[in-house]
Amino acid sequence: MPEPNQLDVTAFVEQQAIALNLPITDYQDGVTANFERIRSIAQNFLEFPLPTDLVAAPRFEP
Amino acid sequence: MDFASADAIAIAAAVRSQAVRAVDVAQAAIDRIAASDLNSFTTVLAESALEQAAAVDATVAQGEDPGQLAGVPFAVKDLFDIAGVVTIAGSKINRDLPPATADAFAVAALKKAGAVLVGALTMDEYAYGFTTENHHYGAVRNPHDRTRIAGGSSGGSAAAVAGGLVPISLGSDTNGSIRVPASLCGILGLKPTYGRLSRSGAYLFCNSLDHIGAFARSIRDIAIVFDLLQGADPSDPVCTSRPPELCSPQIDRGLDGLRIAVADGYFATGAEPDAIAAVEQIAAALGTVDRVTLPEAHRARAAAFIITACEGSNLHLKDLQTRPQDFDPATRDRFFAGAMVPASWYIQAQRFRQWYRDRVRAVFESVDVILAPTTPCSATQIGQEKMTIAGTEMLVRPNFGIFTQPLSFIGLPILSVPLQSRDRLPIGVQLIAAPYQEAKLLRVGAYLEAQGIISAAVAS
Repeated sequence: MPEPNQLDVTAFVEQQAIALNLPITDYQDGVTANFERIRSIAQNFLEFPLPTDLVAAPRFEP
Repeated sequence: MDFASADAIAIAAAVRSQAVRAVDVAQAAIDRIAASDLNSFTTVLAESALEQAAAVDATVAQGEDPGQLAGVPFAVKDLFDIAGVVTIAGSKINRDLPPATADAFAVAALKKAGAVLVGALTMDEYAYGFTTENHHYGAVRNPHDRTRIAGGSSGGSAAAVAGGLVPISLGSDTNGSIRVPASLCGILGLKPTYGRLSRSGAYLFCNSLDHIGAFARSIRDIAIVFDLLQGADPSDPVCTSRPPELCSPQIDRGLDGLRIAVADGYFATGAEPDAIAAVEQIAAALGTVDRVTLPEAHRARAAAFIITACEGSNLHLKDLQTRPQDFDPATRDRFFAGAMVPASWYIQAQRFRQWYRDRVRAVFESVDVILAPTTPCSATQIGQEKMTIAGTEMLVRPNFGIFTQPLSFIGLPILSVPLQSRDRLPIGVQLIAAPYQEAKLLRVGAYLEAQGIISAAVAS
């Protein structure tokens, strides 16, 4: 069981699969492992402070 | 003329001068492909190739200009549209699609120059991988050692050129998919500036990061292909409207005025000794001892990873919902996980991209070309799941791009150049420039080639 206030990745993946209508039952271990890896990698930039006036650069042209 | 080892420029010159017939060149390429054990082709277009070649010969016979690549056989990663052929993109799922109705922009441009398309090349499913061990179509074998991977995701494109099946090929690069296989197969691989070449008619993987580019065994071949592919194309929303700047006339200008430095920090650690030694060998040949730092490169790699996961999975969401069993198991679970990434993570990654771009732009105010390893090691064994890099065990599939991913993230033009030795497998070094400065890369590459520092002979 995860600690209080710690993300339960298995439960998160299960709920996301329901929300997104993704049939992951046969692949749940692999999907959970991959999401855990993504989450760990994302911390590298999520923890990095960025100026509030910095925006992404979409190419959309009306 | 040895058609297997000749470069594209030499073949075109021979065809144009009627020293050889394009039909004979094409037939020889088809024969080599049929005899090859590299598993680099998914489709061979023998009939249409011979028709194209005959048309080139007819044009030459009539005294008309057959184009700069007259009679040169080429092949393309099987995510490029070829009129009349289903674009499978390394997948089983796409086999259900109708055939493409037109050639991709890049395919049409090379055909217009007289090049002869001989087929489509094996890749990782939907370009999501660095090994080209495809569940549906098998592993591409490295021409330098058939037991080893060719790299990916454009593994077939690299192996076909390194193995002497064709002199030039096209691939795509999102996080390193041209540079990684170029390094492992010991050939040249050019990933141009993001948006400089039209991707129209190429089956995209991750719009924010996708590039197309070329493989070859000589700098002049890489330069001519790049020049022929330049040009505005409104059908690719990220394609530049800048006028083409021809690089071929510039490649022999030498190193005068070029400031060259080695990337330190992130790019000087986390690699096997031969990868670091390769960079130092190139630096010594170029007479540079300068070092530069690209800040926060590890965060750039992370952000590229998340953008790729999100955009790639979104593209395939419907198939993930309805037919997950038809994906390559190696890509399916990653796509599923990518679909679940919170939107704020993706947006933060895109915002970080802007921050990182600005910092690297500042670095290029004091340097023109930066050197870095292409891959952390040479080719691993087919089927190998883990490797040890600088004492750390890690998975093979996601980690061959550790040095390529932070650079394509901000769309820099990069040429991977090959170093060969008799007793070791080949390995590549990245030459990196500021956006739209491909000509500088090709000048450095031509200098190294002329000095005999880099070479890309056909693997026996």
